[in-house]
Amino acid sequence: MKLLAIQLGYQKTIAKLLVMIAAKGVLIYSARPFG
Amino acid sequence: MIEITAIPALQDNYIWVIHDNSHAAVVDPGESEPVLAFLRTRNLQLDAILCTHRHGDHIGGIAALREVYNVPVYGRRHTKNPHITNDLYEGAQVKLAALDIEFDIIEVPGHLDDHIAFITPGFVFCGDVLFGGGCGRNFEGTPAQLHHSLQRLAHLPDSMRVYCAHEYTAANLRFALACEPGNQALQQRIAATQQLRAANQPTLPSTIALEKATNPFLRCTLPEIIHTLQHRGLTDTSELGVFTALREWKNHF
Repeated sequence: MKLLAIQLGYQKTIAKLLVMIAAKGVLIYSARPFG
Repeated sequence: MIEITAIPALQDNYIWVIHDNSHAAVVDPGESEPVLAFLRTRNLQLDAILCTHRHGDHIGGIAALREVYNVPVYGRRHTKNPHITNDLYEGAQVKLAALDIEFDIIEVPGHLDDHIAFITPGFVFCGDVLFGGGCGRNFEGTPAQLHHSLQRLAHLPDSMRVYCAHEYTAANLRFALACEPGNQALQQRIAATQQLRAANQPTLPSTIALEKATNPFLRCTLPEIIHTLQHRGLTDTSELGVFTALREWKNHF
C-alpha cells in the first residue's frame, strides 16, 4: 500500500509538472493540458 | 453555401475549415498535413488562416501551409507567434471576401493574455477559452479576466454555434456532473455526448444556450453548484469566488 501511495504521489507530481511545462509552451503532454 | 468542417488533429484538437465549394479559411491549424489533404480532396483554394492564440497546437501548421498557400494570417502578433501578418485587437474586423464573411474580433484573455475570438453572425471561434462543458486553463492573467472573457461569450445570442478547439466535452461533463448532479439538461448532454463519441463524431459545435444550461463555469450563481463547493470548503460565495474555486478544482479533477 505504501509503495502504491508513493507511486500515485509521483504520478500526480509528474502530471502537475507536465501541465506547468505545457503552460510555458515547451511541451504538450497531458490528458487535457489546456482545459 | 458556407460549411464548417472539423479536421481532427494532434491528440484532441479540431482545426476548423470554413469553406464553400471553392474557397476556404482555416482556424488554428496546429498541423498542416491534414489541412492540405482536405483542401486537395475538396479542390479548395485556401484564402486565409485565422489564429485565436499562440500555443503550438494552434499554430504548428502555419509555416508549412504558407509554403503552399501564401495567404494572410490573422491573429495577435507575438514573439512566440511570428506568423501573423494582420495583427488584431479588440474591435478589429476581418473580411474574407471570397467567402463573404466578416468577423468581429474580441479580446478574451485568461487562458493566454493575448487570446482573441472571431465572431460572425451565427458562430464564434473561441479557441481555448470556452470548451464544451468547460473552459480553458488559466495560464496567464487572473481568474477574474478568464471569468470576464467567458461572460462576454455567454452574452452572445443563445443560438450562436460555438466552435471550440479541443474535444474535451466528455471529460468536462464528468466534472460538470460532480458540480451539479441534479441538472437534467446536463444529464441529457452527457448521454448525447456519449453517443457522438461512440460513433467517433465531434461533440462540437456547441451553442451558447447549451453551454449556459450545462457548463458549470457559466453557472457560478447556481445554488446547487455553490452548495457543492461549500461542501468542499468554499467560503467566498461571490460569483468570482465560485468561478475561481471551480477552476482550481477542475485543475486537479
